[in-house]
Amino acid sequence: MPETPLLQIEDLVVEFPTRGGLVRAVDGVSLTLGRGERLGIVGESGSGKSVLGRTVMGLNDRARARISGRVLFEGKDVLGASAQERRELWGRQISMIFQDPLSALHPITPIGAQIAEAVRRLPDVDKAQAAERAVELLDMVGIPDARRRARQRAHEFSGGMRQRALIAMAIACKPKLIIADEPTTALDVTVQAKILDLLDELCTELSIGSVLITHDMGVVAQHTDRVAVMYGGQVVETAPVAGLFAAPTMRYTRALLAAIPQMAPGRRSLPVPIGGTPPNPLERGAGCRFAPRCTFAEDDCHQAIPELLALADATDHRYRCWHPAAVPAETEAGAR
Amino acid sequence: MNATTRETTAPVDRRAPARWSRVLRSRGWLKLIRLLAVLFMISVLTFLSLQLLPGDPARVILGDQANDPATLAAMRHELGLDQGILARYLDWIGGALSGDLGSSYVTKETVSSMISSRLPITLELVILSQLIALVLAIPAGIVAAINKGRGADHAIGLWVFGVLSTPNFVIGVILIWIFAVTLGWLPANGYQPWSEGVGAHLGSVILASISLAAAPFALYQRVLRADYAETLGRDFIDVARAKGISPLRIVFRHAIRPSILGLLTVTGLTVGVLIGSTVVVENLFGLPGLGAGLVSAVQNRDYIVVQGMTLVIACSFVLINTLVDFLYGVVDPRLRGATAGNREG
Repeated sequence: MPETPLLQIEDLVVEFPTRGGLVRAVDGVSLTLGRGERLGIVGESGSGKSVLGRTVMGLNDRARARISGRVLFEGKDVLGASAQERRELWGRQISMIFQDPLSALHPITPIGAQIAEAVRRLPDVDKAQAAERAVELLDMVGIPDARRRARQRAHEFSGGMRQRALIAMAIACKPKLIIADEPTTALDVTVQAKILDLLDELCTELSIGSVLITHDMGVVAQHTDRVAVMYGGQVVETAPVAGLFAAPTMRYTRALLAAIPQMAPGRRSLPVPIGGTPPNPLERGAGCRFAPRCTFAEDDCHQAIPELLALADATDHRYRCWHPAAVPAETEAGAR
Repeated sequence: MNATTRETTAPVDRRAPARWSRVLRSRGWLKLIRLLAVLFMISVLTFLSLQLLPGDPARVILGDQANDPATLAAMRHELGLDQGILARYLDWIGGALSGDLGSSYVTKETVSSMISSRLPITLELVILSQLIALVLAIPAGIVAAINKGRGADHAIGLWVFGVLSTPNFVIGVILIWIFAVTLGWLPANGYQPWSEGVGAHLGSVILASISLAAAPFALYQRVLRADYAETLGRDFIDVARAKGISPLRIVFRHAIRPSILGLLTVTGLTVGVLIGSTVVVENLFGLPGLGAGLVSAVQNRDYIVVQGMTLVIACSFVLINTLVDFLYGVVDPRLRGATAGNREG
């Protein structure tokens, strides 16, 4: 019997009723994540990637969101779990890192106490031990003078240090999975790389699997093992990170890559922006979600949604496109 | 990496030589100076506003005899009304600083003894009604915020708007009708001092306190509901949930402190409204507090009494709001040095 994957998402649909109608934020997403594996989810704002993260965590308000499909954590259903069962998972098994570290930290409680609160989820930890452990954790995530810093509050920390503190909080109980929702978007570029390196390092050391949600292809290239590209609530291409960058097949993935400036010697190109705006989830056509903005779209693209198909020579590389791009990517990016 | 620590506190270094610029820059002294300036302005305005009113206390006291100019002049001299306005102010404020607010033109009782017998009753009404309002409004606000847009929120909201739009004397009359007239549990009116027993005393003030508490309750519930709902939508609440913190702990530990500042501000400001409301409610329930005293003093043109009572009321209002300023820093250390109605961030 094969080992149960850490996380399995099967045909997940998340809908929110709004005044304008039913918004389908996540539309039939299936993904699998192995133990200690790093999965990247890339997409523009509105692609459904953050909703996906929150749903996997089970954080969505059940009264407001309509959810179907399955999310299995170590083979156990997260969506069907009782509030009590989900709370057992949170912090202990799965934890989450949020986009804006300032609003993610409690404004009044000292940082150390906030981390100690997470540590106390572990059985048989008393208050003093938890406070001590919080200082160790702050030290572990590279905050100098951790003992003094533990007594300070969020507004006394810089942006990078706040995110470090949140990482300390996320790893407090050595969970098996961390969901990081745009963890560096609110930070300076110089701090970004350090935070992601730290996260990588800690996940490897504690063998934590991670889901990194981002809009940045560059971040995905360096900090994940597998990538899922999302567009309009659907996964439009998924592959091991090397395969995706070597042979981006779906037109949207290509367009995303072309939007990164190339500064390698002899291969300079200015970024090519993607025209149009992300689709309004209330006005989706019958065809490929990307068709209205795709420069290669033909009539059939507007008729039906393409299936998620595997590449002939790489079965773990799947894409959703009627007129996929041929390899290699460079020629096309250069020609445009 | 971090340059924000200086915002938190600026303790005064007491060993440093006393330089005015330094003293003025420290927030504690600045607050004290501002407080004194406000108290001075209050005394001037209280004094002036009554001098500008029409009507002569000497004429009121003398009644028919006021038609005789000599008697009137003698009375005016006796009351000190023939002196210049500045002299009268200085005389009054000088006395006030040493605890002597003068004597009633009408009853000859000293104003300070009138205040010391009446202030405790008003103070008790204000404190009791604040307690009742807060004890009811905090749970009602939290429950409404948690269930925002759902049945419980609408039900509480309907009740609150009903209370908010009913004047306190109407509520007072309804309470008297229910508890005094129909059920006969409590006296309809009249004051029982503590010496008559705790039950009798509380029974004589409780209906008045409830009718005073109604409007603040509604206001507090609205303010707390809005702030609390906003807090619940912030990321750190999701982070707490994602940490696996129990929902009860999130409701009582994580969400309350960031939501309480608005409530604290209106609680301080409401003290003034409550003192104003006691004028009506004390008369309705026959309680000998400052409010009832003020009304009879105004009717008698007994300016010196009105002046003294107004001064005491205004000063307590200012002092209570200074206390609220101080409490900001206790509730949220980021706000040390902020001012009521003017919080930063």
